Amino acid sequence: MMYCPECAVGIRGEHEFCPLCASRLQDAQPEYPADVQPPAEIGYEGVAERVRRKPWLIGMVTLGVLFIPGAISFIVDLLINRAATWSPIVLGALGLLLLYISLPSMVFYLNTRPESRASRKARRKRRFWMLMLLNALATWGYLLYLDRVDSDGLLNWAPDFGSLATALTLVVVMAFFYTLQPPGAVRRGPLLFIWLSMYVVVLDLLISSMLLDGEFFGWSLIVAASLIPLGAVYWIIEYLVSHSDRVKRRLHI
Amino acid sequence: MSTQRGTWYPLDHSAKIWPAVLSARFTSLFRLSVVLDEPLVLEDLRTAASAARRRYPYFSVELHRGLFWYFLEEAGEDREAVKADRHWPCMDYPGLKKERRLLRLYVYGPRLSLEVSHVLTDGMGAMEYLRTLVYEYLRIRHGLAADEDDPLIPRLPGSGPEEGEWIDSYLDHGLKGAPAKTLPEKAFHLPFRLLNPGEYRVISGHLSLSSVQASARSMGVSVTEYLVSVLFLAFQDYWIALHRVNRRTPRRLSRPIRILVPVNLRGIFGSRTMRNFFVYVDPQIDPRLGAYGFDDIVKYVHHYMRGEKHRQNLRRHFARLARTERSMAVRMIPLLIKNLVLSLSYQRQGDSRFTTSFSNIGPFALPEPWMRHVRWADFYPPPSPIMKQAVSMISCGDILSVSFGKMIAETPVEKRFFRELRRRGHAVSVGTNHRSMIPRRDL
Repeated sequence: MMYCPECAVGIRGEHEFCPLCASRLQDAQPEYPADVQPPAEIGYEGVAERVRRKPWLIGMVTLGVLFIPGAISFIVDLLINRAATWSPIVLGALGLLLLYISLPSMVFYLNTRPESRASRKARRKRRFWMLMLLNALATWGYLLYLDRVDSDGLLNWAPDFGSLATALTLVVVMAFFYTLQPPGAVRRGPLLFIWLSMYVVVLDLLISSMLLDGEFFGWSLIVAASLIPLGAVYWIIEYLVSHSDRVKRRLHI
Repeated sequence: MSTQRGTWYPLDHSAKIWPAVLSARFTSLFRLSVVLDEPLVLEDLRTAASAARRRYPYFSVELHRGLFWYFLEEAGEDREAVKADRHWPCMDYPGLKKERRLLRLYVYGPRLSLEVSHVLTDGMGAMEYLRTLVYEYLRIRHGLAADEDDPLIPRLPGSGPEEGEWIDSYLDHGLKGAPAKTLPEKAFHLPFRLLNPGEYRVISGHLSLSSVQASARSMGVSVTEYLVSVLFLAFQDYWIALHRVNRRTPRRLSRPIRILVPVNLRGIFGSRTMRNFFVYVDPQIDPRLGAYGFDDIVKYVHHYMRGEKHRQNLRRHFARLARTERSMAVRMIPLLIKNLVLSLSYQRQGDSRFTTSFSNIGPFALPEPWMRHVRWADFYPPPSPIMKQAVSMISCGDILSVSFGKMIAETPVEKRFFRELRRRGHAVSVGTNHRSMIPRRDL
């Protein structure tokens, strides 16, 4: 009879590896099993299909919850202004929120057709990026709408700062959203870039409004445009490298 | 109910659920195996099987579908009842569906396996049948003779069926106004993908019965209570490790660990039936409240199981439904609707409430001259795609066989279970029916 060096049990029959822990078998019987208990299996293989079994439910519940503030704002707007003035902006924001919350469960719905692990992984990745694109387009559309509503404003959100903000926000939001990673888990270093750029922009805004008698973005946008992408890239690299296993688990890939 | 044996039988109370949920994974088949000291001789085995069939004619039946209920009908002698063994045990679903035979014999070298559907009988009924069969086979093969007063002699082939062996004892002991059992909350299940339909892996460990008995006795508990406690410990360890690794564990993986332990009712209610007659007790631990030590678990399991095993409490499990299903209103519902209701109720109240099951069928014992030809016995539990793995044990001489019947490839619990037994000083030898094991160090 052969023996497992880890489990310290004898193995009946002809086996090369232990049926319990897959260690290579040996001739001599160990006195005790390994002191350290084996770790739990990492990953949710087989769980995903149950977790995502009712993709429409999340969407419907979110719709139900968001319907209440949406309806209230619309009615209040109608009662006060006798027309829909600011309520479409709120409704648009709520619609965007609905999209952020309900789309993932629908996109990541696991069908039961048999397929290899590699193709499943590829399909999930494809869906993930498609989802990000969809959300980016929706956010971009919303910003364009804001521009149209606020056509007299000094800031032209969608073509100027909006595109950068959209892209950055999406990357960050998506990363948090799909990995359910709390912000505290990411090191503070990359955040400094973004805080610094925001500080510079606010400073520029204050100076220009006080000295130049009107909001004016000049040099601060140039600084921000260089600092924010640097910080974001730093953040993403840090995030993906140090937490790659967690990201993989949450994406079920 | 008539005690006259007819050519057809209604299904007993606990069997009624099985035809409604039968599938390629839910086969309801369990297996008892005996390994002899030499390869089996087919002709002698067929002769012994014929004798056993005459002794237990109510086991040579086929499952039929009626308008209102399924029923069992006696069939002629099946010369093909003895077959070459299959690779995956307890998985003959096409045979169960097309040929409708609920009892099969499989032979592989010196191993004789009896596969029985739970529709027909429970473990104790199957054990009695197997004892008679092996007794008769070895008597024919070796011309053995036993002392007539030996209490280990099984129900003998020549004697014919006795009254009370084929009755539904649930019905006899049911009470119309009995309160129903409350439904426990859902239990923790292992989070792994099921194997392909038709695949059923078994890992069985052999231990020394006297060694386990000594350990159990030193703690003042029975062997079943001792092993159930070790199983609890293994599940708890995995549960805690799973939560430690995954900080945000889904709620359905944060449920209590509950083990279903079947209890044979024949002795308690004084029944001689060979049909199903068992209920279960369901000890549970809840690691959400903190980790349990082994001594705590042993004490809890011991007192819980002793407390649960009294006549009135066990009756609570079946008394009400066993009488209700005989009412005219329930009888008149067409089978199609009954199947739907039974299937839904099984999904709601069945295996989802239990993490796993632990069946102790007791010792396989025959008179001493017979036991010299028997090396060991194995007992494989019926597959359950919801619990994903079940545990069963049987002893034969000094060999205690504990088998994990699995519908998943991963082995986190049995690894911890056997390592814990080894750590407690019991020599363990493990065998499996799955050969192409790929080494995966992360498990």
